[in-house]
Amino acid sequence: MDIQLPQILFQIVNFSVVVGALTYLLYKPVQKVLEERATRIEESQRAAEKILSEKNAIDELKKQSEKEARKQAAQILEDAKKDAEKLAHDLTTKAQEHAKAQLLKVQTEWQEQKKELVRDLRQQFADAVVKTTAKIGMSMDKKAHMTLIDEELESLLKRI
Amino acid sequence: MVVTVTTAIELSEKYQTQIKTAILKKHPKATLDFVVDQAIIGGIIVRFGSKELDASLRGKLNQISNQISTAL
Amino acid sequence: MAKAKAQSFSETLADLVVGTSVENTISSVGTIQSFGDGIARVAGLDDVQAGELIDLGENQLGLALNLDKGSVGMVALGRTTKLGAGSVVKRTGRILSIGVSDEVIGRTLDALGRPLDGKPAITPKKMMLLERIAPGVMTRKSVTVPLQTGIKAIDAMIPIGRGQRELIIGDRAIGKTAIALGTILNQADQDVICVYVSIGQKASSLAQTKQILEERGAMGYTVIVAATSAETAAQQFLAPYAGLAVAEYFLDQGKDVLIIYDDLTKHAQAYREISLLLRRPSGREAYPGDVFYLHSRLLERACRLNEKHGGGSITALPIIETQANDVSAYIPTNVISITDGQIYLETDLFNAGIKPAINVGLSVSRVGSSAQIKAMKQVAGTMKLDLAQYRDLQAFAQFSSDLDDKTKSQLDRGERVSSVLKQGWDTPLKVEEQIVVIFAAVKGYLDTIRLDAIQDWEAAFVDFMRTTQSNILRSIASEKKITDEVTEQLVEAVAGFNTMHPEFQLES
Repeated sequence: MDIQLPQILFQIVNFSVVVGALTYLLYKPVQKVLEERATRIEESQRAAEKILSEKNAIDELKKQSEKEARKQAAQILEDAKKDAEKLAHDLTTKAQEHAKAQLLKVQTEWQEQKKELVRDLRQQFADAVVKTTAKIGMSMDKKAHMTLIDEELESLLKRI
Repeated sequence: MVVTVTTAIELSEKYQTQIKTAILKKHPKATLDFVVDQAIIGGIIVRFGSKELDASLRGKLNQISNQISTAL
Repeated sequence: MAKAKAQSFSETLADLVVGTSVENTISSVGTIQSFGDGIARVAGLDDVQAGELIDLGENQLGLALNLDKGSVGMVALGRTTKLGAGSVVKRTGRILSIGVSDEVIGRTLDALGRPLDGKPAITPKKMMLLERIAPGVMTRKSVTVPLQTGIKAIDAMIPIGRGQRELIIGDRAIGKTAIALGTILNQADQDVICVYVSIGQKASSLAQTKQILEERGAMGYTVIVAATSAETAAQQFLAPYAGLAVAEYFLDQGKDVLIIYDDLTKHAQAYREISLLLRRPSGREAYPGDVFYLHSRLLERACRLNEKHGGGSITALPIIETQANDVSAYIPTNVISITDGQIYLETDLFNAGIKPAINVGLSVSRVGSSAQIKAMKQVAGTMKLDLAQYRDLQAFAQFSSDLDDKTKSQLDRGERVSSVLKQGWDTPLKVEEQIVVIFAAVKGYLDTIRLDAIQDWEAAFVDFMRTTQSNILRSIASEKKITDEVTEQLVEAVAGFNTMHPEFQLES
């Protein structure tokens, strides 16, 4: 057992050197890596939470816009109904005006017909006048003819 | 130039010569033609060349007829 | 009471007779040497003027056309049964003219201004000469105001302006008269007076046209001047000039007028008939030598006047009927060279179901976009180019499965734009409605719609815009351009309409 003491001492020293070296070279980095890993896990957890909260926010927004769209659709329907009513009202007024216009048209047509009748009558009268006077002319005697011809001839010869 | 004189009744020779002289005074080269047409009713129509002077009763009656039927 | 009335009646009659003034008249007369086929040779009438009206007796008139040494060639206007050799005819002293007044609107007249619709004659306020010298260069103004036809294909790509002459050319029964009538129907609120001249058409077609115009209320601003095929060739020859004289009456008042000649082919044929009977020398296709002048003097009088001369305009839409699509025949080439552009209708397109059968590639408007409002220019600017590219690619349409995506999308877009241009002839669209439909088409909102549902889509969309989005339409109509704000609203409206109507969408 006498040689064992330096050997044991040497072993102890050796061991402590190894431990020291290990602590410095291995333990510390490994701890660092473990720490890093822990932080990374924490970060990704936080990121996941953030994404989850954003997703919730978008879902909210989606629900909101759906509600908006439904409201707008209802509004459009309302407006459409109002316009339809207005259209119906316009149509009735138009129909009334059309009826009035028809009446006016009939009245003016009657006026036109009256004018036409008067014109016709005038023409008939003119023809009658010509025919009667022609008859008179037929019954003129020679003397009457010659007097007429004399009169006209004078003025005629001036213009030739 | 041909001058045509139209009357409703036949004119006497004397009268025709009267008209001839009167016309030849203004148009020396004219040749006269006398026509009888009862349709003009009375009066006289003289046509010289392409111009016509209408002094007949028919013409006057037509004018009256036109004026009455177009009067307002 | 009756007795008093009768008394005053005879008194009035007596007054009438007494009130006349009679005088000896001197008139210029002539004797008919020969008469046949509506043409008479008259000896005498030494001082008659060319184009003067001659009194044939019995209220008939004739027109002195040929002034030869010793005789006058006269065309009888109207059926003359009592004329013969030896009959005496008189000068009237009136150069061919027609009496016009404001009450001519809504009436149907013949070439001499006499009524054809059974109503009393027009009391003329002004005698308009049928032959008038066209306005000179210094009295005119360039064409800038659009004449809206209501037809998308025309208003977008072949726009017509007020004061322009645009020819409508195509075979028979292809829709030429339909385009003209559609244009008249669209002028209801445009403050344009329309004159429809019917030359050599069937009386039944004219009656149908008149009925359509009356039913749609278009007679309130339209005049019809008609010489049907039963009328003499002389009346058919004069009808366009009579219509133009009526149009010029309103032009002199500073108004805008649209005149449609339906059609000038029959007009040239009537003139050929008269010229051959008058023994004038004939030329190509037996037409007389001055058949170009016949149409050029007619169409030159369609113009836009500057403010100093009233600011009115006459827009002419002559119609020419071709035989077998031959636009190189004599009369079509003549009129094409006179007008400011043509609308070319093709039988192939008509048979393929494209109505109006307008060939956009061959149709031209030489006035072009100066006659379009800015809003229309904004949307239709690229449409003509797109359609041209589509036509080029059409041959490849049968290989649609083997084509690359870009070509395929161009084909689809082209098909939809062509489909949107189809339109019923009697459903004119206001310009703002046309603009929103074309906007939807060129911006791609139709790309997801079934091809066979496009007509229904369009009808529903126009209805939607009219009822719920009328503010957009009103804004475009008043500003005459699409502002950025309106563009946004329009995009929303179209997108919204598409989501509301999934029944038109393609099955995906």
